[in-house]
Amino acid sequence: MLKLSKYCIASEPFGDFASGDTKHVLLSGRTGEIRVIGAQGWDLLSAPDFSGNDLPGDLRYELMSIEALVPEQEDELTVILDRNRAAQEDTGQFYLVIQPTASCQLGCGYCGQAHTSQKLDDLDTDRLVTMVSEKLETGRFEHFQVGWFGAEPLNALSKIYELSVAFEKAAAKAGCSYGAKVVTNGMKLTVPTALKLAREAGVRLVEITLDGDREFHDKRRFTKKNQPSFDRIYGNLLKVATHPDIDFQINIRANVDEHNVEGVFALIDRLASDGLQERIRFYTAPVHSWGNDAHLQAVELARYAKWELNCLAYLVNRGFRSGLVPNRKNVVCMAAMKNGLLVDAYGEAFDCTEVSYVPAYGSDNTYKIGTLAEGIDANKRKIFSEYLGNVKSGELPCASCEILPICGGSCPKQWNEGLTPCPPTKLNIRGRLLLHYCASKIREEIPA
Amino acid sequence: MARLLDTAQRALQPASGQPDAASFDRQFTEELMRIVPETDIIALQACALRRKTALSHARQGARRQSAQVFSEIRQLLAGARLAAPTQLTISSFLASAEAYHHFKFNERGEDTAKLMLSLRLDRVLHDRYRLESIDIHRLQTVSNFARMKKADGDLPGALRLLWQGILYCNADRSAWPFPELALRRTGVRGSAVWTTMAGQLLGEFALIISETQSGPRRGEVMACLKSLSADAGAPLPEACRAAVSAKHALLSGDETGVLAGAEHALSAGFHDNPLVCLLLLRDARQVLEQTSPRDAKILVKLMDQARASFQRIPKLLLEAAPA
Repeated sequence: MLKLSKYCIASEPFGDFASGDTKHVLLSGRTGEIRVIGAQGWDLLSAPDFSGNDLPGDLRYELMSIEALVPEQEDELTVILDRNRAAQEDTGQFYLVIQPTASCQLGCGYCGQAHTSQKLDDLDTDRLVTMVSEKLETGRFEHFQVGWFGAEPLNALSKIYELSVAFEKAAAKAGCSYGAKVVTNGMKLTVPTALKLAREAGVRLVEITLDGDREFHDKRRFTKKNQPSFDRIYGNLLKVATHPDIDFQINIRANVDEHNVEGVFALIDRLASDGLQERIRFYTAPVHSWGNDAHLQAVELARYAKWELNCLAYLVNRGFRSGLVPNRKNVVCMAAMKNGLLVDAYGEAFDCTEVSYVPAYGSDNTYKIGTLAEGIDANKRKIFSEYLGNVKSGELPCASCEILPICGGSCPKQWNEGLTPCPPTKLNIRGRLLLHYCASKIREEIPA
Repeated sequence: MARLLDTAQRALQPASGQPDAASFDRQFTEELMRIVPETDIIALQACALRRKTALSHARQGARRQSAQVFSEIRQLLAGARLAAPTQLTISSFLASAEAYHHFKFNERGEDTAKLMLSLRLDRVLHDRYRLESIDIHRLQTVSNFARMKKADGDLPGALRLLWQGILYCNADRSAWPFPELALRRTGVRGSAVWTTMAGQLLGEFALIISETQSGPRRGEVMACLKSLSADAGAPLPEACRAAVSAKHALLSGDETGVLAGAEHALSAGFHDNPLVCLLLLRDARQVLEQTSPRDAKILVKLMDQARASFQRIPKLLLEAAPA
């Protein structure tokens, strides 16, 4: 006997004008697979006395293969959590985030970090290279991925190049592939820098933050001397994105709260009018607590979810490619990775990207798990590594949430701090499914 | 030379009535449906799908994820009230898949134990429940045993197992390599699936020979090949003999023998076995690159066609096909 998976989500019915049928878009959260099903099939699936026997054989098999239908006696929550746990142990990747400096030109209101001129010193640099080499030489990894984060990582470019050379050598010696990404405010992302990052530092992805068009961005992302930043950042972005010899992926992220929610569409228009649709990936994220009260300025979740759907539709209409439906998320974030680590400019180690340089967590940071000098204390990883256990025990509402497999739990740190980090996807997933279907139809009708 | 090219060209044309993946699956499923209750088909399908996921994880080196999904299948098996033949079928295929997992992650001993378990379960399915086509699964298991022996460096052992499998496909019951697990009776031979299975085993056989052709173990393999050919009791199909002869010629450095053997094997009937075609053509190409480079280039094109033909290998046999 079979049952409909509790992680199987169907859109509202829609009329397919071409065929005259009523259909639903179906997402199997357990596998991330999407299908379109006729209304009659959906009625059978969602009937209270459904057992699987009434379905035509090929439909039944197809739905089983994407795990939209599962054996009746299966404890689905346990299956999902066990798979997540297994994936967290098994990534085959060593993911290292490095904050080579604690300095940043900007003074964004929602940022919880305290910036200084500190850079990773030579002693800690050597310790880091040794640690990486020893780890890679265990032979457990197929890929070594580095994330250059901040503060503002491009304020320590020489350190990035120095470490990149050593890392690429260590990876090659261990037979691993190597890749890097940079999360930057864009102020120093000139064409020569971008070229050098791509050619000499193995950078394959750059993410830049723009909080709306100029008027909105400059009200919140200004320099520490209160100067605007939009024109410089956007100017750099345009030159880098249109340079023929630069091919790393570019993501543009807009942090959205009540103060700039109206400025995002204008930014999308600007990006579109500069012809960047194929070159960049644009996405928004609600502002959240960063050890501060930034979340109090966030747009209320239900309203944000509706707004986000409109924003995604606008992106599709303007020709941008966007991730409309989240994929299966086995590993929620770096905190959950057995082999994920962040090292800051002071040589301190963490397993989360949102906790270093944050004064609210104390001068001896609560979330610190070690230092390059003294080593990592595995017991201190428990704050986040026990997250799955908290879901299983029902302490967190994720246990009964239909989007758990594609959300992964959102943010273990925020749950730990008593916040509720449910993503807007929780409320707009059905709309996203319809949008995904529409976007696929547009692509079919207007082939590239 | 022209005859070899011509023969190779014809050998790679799809033969009419050739078995394909769908027809084998249908045959196996039809037989299965005669012995298991209809309500159990869902459980069989669910376990088969999970098994595919687990194997995919194992192939990618994701040990824990693979183990996790195998654990899910066991829980499904434990929790569902299934008829005995259903349980046996699921358990047998699960054991084979877990054997791959153990082999992939170097858990030696456990891999062969699981294969033996699979053979025992298949014997019960065949003798007690009359699931005839499970005999193909048993041959797949023999092929997997051979791979383990090869990985352990026991090339003569691997060759001997594959050879016994080939003879068994040609109705020589006494050739079955595990006498304590012999079937009470064997089904009718001569159908297309047996020819294809024999061809696949021969392909693996030929692969081992090709891989050791110029290495330090060549002498050892040649000696084994000689003894196997001499031991063959039941008559082998002409194509098999010719392919083995071509391989023997390769090891001996007999270039004419390589080309003649390849042509003979291809013309005698390997039209439905692209793997063996590929291996024989590769040997012929090696010879021709020295004597007739232009003809060697033509052969390369034919070999590309043969690679594309891997799609045609029936699904039941696919897992045994080397990467």
